[in-house]
Amino acid sequence: MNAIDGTERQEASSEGPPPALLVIILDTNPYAWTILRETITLLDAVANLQIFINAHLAFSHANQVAVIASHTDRAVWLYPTPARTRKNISNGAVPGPDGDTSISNGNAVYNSNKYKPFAQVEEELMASLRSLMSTTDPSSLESTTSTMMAGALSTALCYISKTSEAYNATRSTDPNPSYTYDAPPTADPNDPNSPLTGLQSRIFIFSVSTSLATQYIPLMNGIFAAQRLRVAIDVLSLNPSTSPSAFLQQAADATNGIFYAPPRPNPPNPIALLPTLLSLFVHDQTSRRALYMPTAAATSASSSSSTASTAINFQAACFCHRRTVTIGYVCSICLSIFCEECGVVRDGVCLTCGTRLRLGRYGREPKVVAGRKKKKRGGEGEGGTASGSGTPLATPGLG
Amino acid sequence: MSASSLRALEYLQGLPGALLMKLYQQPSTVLAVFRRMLPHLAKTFVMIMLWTPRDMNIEDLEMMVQPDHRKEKEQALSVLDRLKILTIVTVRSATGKIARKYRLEKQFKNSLRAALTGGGSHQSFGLPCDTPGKKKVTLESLDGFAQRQWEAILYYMVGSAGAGLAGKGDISPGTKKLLELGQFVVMRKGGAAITQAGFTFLLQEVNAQVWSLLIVYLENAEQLKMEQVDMLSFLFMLGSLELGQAYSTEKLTPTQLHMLDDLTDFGIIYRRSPDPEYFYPTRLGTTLTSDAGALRNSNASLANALGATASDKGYIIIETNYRVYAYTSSPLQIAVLNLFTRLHTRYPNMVSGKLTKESVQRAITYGITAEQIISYLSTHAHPQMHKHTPVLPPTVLDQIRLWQIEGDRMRATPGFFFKEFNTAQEYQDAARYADNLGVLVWKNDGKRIFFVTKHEQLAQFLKNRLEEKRVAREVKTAQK
Repeated sequence: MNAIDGTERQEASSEGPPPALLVIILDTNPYAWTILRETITLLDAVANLQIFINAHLAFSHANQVAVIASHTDRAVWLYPTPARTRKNISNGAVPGPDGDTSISNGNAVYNSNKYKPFAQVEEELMASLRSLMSTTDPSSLESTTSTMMAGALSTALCYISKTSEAYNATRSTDPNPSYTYDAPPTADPNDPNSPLTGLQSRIFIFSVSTSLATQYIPLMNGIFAAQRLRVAIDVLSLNPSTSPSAFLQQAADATNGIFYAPPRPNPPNPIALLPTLLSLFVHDQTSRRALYMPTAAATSASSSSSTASTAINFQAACFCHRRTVTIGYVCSICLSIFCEECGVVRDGVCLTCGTRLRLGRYGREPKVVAGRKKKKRGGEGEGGTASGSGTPLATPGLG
Repeated sequence: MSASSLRALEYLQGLPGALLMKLYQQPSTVLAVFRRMLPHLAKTFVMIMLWTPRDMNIEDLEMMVQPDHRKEKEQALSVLDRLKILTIVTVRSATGKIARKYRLEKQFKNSLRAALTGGGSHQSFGLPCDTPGKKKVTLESLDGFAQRQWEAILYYMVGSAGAGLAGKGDISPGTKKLLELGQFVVMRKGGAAITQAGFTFLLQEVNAQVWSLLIVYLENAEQLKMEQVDMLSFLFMLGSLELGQAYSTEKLTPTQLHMLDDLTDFGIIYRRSPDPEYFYPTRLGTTLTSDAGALRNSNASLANALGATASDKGYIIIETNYRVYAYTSSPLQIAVLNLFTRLHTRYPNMVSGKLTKESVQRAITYGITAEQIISYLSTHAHPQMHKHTPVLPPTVLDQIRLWQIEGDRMRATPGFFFKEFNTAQEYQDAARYADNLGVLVWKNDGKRIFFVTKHEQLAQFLKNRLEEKRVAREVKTAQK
């Protein structure tokens, strides 16, 4: 009679891990690639990424991939391309983003040494990359030297949201069909016991640009949106400056992603790129559950040993001049961050929400308290502005 | 992993190492094995090691895995070991230290790399053919062909169950022979009679059915004078082809050319005339190596291909009072349902019936198990049923199991018995390891004995322990 046991009833047919969607954001900022050209070229990177994509697709027939270029002035779809008549991009029989499963006609000429879905991704990726490069004219590059990372991130998140919904819709047999992404389940994403259901998405950012301070606000919004969607953001930073990008580091940290910047002394080399990609970034959510993942804090500690920083760089950018600041002023009403330069300190008016703020005793020498008085506690909080010196600002939890 | 890939995996694991190495020469095969046969964690391990120049220390791998996923790790490594993908090598470093490391099998590594980079000149992903006759074959006609062929086989089997459906559609003598060799049917005077294995076959999902038949086909390769490696490579290649595309037969080996005929009989590939220079894979073929996730998505089309009127949505409703309503008009599905239900009314688009003690026990005497009935019911459950968890009413499930248990109180499991452990520690380690591998059937802690289904890896484990002990002892004596 032991065999008749209520626990066995649930037995959801062992379906294996849920399919994974990988959105790659490739930084195509020409300025940054020019600086890197001695060590690694964009072509090297794309060739390696191609194998990385194939590896991701090889994991499961249901796995999907998307690639977005973060160019200087815009974010561009590299794969799947929405504009052109698309071939059956999906791998296996998963319908593409616009639901077409038609079989392409007339492109029978292909290499039989290559798995067809892999070849299709590669072909389309290269074609759109080429068209991106040819449509980039010098005048468009003059306006900025940065990269449209925030735009690419938002595009990626929109695509993930759309694809997950489409995926859930096709699975009418989902045991809890009321599940929507507007209301994420109350389960803690870090809880290893909550089952993984639905499409598991993550974003992989291949970053080469240095500063993203101008896009601080949209970038942070994107990060928080990703956090809410339970999308991990992985970052590989090859930027030529000495310190890895603080904001991308925060992105990885906030979303339980992986951040990796090759150790400074050795320049990034194309040969080491592939093992790095495959051993660090190939893990989807399912295997992340089972393995110890190098978290953002751990890798940055080991990689930037030269700077001896052992934690994530939690710097923020001020809202007034878009500069990275280590110490700033936070409006207690709207949480905007300001630097010394602007008039906030002088005038006591928040530039974002217009609230009049009292700066309290800011700037005065702290009184040296003589003797011990045990009574007062927390009397400091009377000022409107949280302006204590050295207060760590803009931790991701604030959002 | 679904039942179908498990069957194929078991078959592959049973192959001798040399044969596997030969198989691994084809990148398409390696890709299919990687994708379909390996547990998720095993794929991750392979990927990590694929382009890493050095072998991986056993300790490093150990440290990567979180403690509560030990079991999955052991299972992953066990599969990798049995498929000869991962070997343990002992390396003596320059300083004289002996380290044991995991090494990815060279042939496998090279082929997987070739599959991912698309290099080489192996042409293992099929040679598409540009001039496939005058007219292109439409997907509908391919699906129709696959459906006709496969249903004919199923009808043949159901018909032999005496469900009054015999004679509809005919199958080739080769297929009949194969069904007999696989012991799905036995020949008695007056025709074929279905066996227990046959019922198991019938109640599986289509992909699993195809694999079951193909494995019989492979097992009897020698009898049919065919090369097993060629056959497997061809099957795995089929899985990577594109539906609706014609492929050339130019590069195929004689064995594979021979296979074309048989596979056409099964409905796995389609050819216009008996001897053209090209073939079309059908949906049965292209989904051979698809996994559960992709299958679910393509289920609608697959089901269409096999005439399930309600597509992937399922058609069976069961109520807590054991009544069964099946929205189908397919004679095949009705016949299958009739194996374990008492059907009483038939409408144009629906049949209704009841699960009774007699009907279920009759099925059990045929050799159908309660689990098979339950899994059939739940895989074909109507979407309306899926709104509840559990999908099927618990009372019905328990009752089906109880009906089975009434007549069946003993289960035989072939395996190996381990006893006479010296220390409690040794016993516990071995038992835990066996449990992690998933081979432990029964144990008795008091008497320090246990029973397992497979012993190779366990024996290796015990040997390693002995070895470690011996080394430790030697070190100790050396220190003295």
